[in-house]
Amino acid sequence: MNNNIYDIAIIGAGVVGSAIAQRLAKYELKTILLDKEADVAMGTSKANSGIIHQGYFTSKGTLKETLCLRGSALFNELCPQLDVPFKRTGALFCATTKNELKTLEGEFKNSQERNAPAEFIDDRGKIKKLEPLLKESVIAVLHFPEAGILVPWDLTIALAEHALLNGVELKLQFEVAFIKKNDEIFTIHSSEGEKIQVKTIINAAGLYSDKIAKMIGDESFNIIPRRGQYIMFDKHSLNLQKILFPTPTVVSKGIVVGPTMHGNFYVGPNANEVDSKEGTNTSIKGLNEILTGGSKLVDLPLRKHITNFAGLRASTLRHDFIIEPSKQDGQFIHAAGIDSPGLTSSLAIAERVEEILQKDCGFTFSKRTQYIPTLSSQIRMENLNEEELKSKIAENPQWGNIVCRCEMVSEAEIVEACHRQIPCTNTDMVKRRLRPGMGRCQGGFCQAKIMKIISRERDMLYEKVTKTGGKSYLVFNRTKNLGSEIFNGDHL
Amino acid sequence: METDIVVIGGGPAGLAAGLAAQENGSEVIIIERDHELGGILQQCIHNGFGLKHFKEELTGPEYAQRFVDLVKDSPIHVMLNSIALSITPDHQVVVMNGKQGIVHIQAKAIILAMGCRERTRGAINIPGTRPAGIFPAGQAQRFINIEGYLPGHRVLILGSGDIGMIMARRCTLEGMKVLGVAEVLPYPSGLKRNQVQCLDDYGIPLYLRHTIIDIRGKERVEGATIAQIDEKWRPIPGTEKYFDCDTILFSVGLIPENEISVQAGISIARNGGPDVNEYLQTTLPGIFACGNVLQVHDLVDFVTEEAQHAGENAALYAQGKLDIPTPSPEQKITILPGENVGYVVPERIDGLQTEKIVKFTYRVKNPRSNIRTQLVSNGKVIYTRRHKFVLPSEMISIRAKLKPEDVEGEIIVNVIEKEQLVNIIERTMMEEN
Repeated sequence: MNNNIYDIAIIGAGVVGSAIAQRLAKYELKTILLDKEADVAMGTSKANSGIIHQGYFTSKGTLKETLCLRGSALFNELCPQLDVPFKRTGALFCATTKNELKTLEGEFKNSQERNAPAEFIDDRGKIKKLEPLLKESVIAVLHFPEAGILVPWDLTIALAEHALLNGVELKLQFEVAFIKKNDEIFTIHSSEGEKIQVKTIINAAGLYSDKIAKMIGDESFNIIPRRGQYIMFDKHSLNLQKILFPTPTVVSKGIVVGPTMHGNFYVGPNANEVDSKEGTNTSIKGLNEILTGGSKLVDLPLRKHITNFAGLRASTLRHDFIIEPSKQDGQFIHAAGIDSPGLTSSLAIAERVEEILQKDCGFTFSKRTQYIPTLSSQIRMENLNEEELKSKIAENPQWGNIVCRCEMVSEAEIVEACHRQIPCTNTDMVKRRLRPGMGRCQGGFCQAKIMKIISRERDMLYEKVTKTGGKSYLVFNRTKNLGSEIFNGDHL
Repeated sequence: METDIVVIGGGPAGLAAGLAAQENGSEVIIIERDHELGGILQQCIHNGFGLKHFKEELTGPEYAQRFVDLVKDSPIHVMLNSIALSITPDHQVVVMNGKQGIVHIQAKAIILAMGCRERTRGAINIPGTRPAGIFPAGQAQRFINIEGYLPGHRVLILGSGDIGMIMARRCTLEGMKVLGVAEVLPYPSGLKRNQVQCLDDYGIPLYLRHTIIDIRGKERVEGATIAQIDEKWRPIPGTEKYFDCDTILFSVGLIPENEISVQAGISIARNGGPDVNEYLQTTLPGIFACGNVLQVHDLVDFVTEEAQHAGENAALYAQGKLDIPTPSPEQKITILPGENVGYVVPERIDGLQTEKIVKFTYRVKNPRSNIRTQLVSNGKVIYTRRHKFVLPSEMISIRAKLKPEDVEGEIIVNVIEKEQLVNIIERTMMEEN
């Protein structure tokens, strides 16, 4: 058979698509991961709460319940293996009224039935001990000690990089325009006229998974984007111990006040259905809503916010994940409708997709002979002690050049990020990997310098370096009729 | 490595402080993170600098160069491309650069002159999408004046701070179209001369009491909506104006950059700068602060003056000649901002054994005319100075002769109408209101 035919194409390099790619990379398969954006994790995977849940508040017997519990367990092994920072901080659901207290008691029972470790506490002293910042109005909490936090794009990038390390191909800026099938082979056409031939397609296209499904005539579900807005606060402005939830309602788990892996904290999300799948704008109303919501649990520090953003949940009317072969075509598998707890479930979704491929799609998997089981993340200056840093600088002076002073990132780290498996070609890619621009100055000092590094390392004209890819240009033509240039100097 | 004085930052404050310390007999090292001295002045290519200090009008780079030349001709040691990683209460500075790696410098005194950074869109919670084309005004200034690139074509500016207004003119001169400047306050937040020379002269509209309520665009900014705000800062429906712009600049304030100060254990005052006494000494003995890291200045000339004061005192300290008594709790004098005053530097007076002149610098919260500054202690007015007008954009500086017998506990700085004496109780009530 033609060598150019792939076994599996995964459409969508969010956390789900990347997890599937990482899982399939163990086997001798010709797999390709496709995404329309310039990086992985560009949709829902980059704008969510980053919480690993414990199955709480999922309906009995749903995929959400099963895969959330299974998914959470899988992180214990995967995170050290892929060098992804992960912390089981624990979460508190908080009740301020008797009714809410009853809801929490009910959920406590459900959690016991699920064998999810939980603790119901209505003693103020004990509550205070768990989270000193909680307001006095909180009369009871349901504590899930194994709930955790991670950076969702850290996870996605690591999964994709690990897949690439083991032979999976990644094609970015490949927007699927239409799909044809002839002689058991799909041809995926991009909007730029590129073609990919493949035996089996996995639809992990997130917000656009309904659009991709329709390309093969499957109209069994529609994605309803549900927007959640967030406000991020500066480091050390509130030293939260736990992820704090209100008592959930039928609609959502409510507005969280949660710590991040880097000592910041955030408030959000609210939940509103929106028309546009690109509608990631925040609004005055939404921002006020989440500030009010967050203030019910803790006193929020004033004027310490550093940014606000919104993410879209890819919800469906099924209110459950859709992980199954399409009724239209058994070689087209949906991993769709992934809203909360999608991040937690991502690894278990990949496991489920693997089972489907084996059972329903006729794949017999043979282990990849030269499988590399681990991935090392980039060495970070912040993790080096003085002696280690000294020897790094002696080897390469770029270690001694700080580009981002809010998050302390050196030139050497950014140069490396420009040459990893997924090379950074825009400033937001660097930001998601190393954090320059995520601090309190939000890139005001370092963005122009990072553009120079990308220009030099990727051999791109300075003005062609974008913020997020596509046409997100940061600068246009030169002043004084100066010519276009690829930066080629040392002084950033 | 050992030296008398380490100055952190080679902008206008660091240069003047370093020179003053050196002239007063100290061995000085200046640490600069950039590859050249001069700091942000290097990108301020407009004129208007130096009228007070040099009695002539200079551009930013020219003003900086005068000090850079003096430093070059002096025995001051300059470390370029170097970042101060940390400082300690016993005056150790850890410096890193690509050439030497990590260097520990033991100094006798330290001068903080790290400057400030710009407040961002996120810090004031402006909603909308997050496409390319949203810049702090200073970053756009860097793109145009240092890198030589245009950051856009059609520009909307939020905030009428000096950088915002100067950038409105700069963008216009470079052929960009500036559609307007929106300002939440009922008056421009930068200097009057900048309003006239940078906006009025170019017919750029200024929308007072307006803010941005939405930003559109996925990849690059495609437009923004501003609206008028009411007295509670809420947008007024029906006042929305949409701008078809590809660039939004934010000039919404500057924040002293004090990360290493905080790390060392220095107390930070309400304006974001270190809490200093009348010698510009922070809460750690032998560590001084000056320039925009201490308080955001309106004119660089005042930075120079303040930095010289800090440099002289640091030199005296390093030589063991700066005799600051440690005041007992009863002798402690705290300076408090009172009626219509945002903050005051210094925050305390540590040595008032005999009569002496103390310099106070401060800004008002609201513009007023025919008004006076009053220093009040123990219910009595101990100093008065008249002002024709006061503006939040202009730093006020006074030198008051203080007598120990007049001062007790605290001094409240009020900027009020004649005859109106505000005591601490009324002041508290006003703040609560």
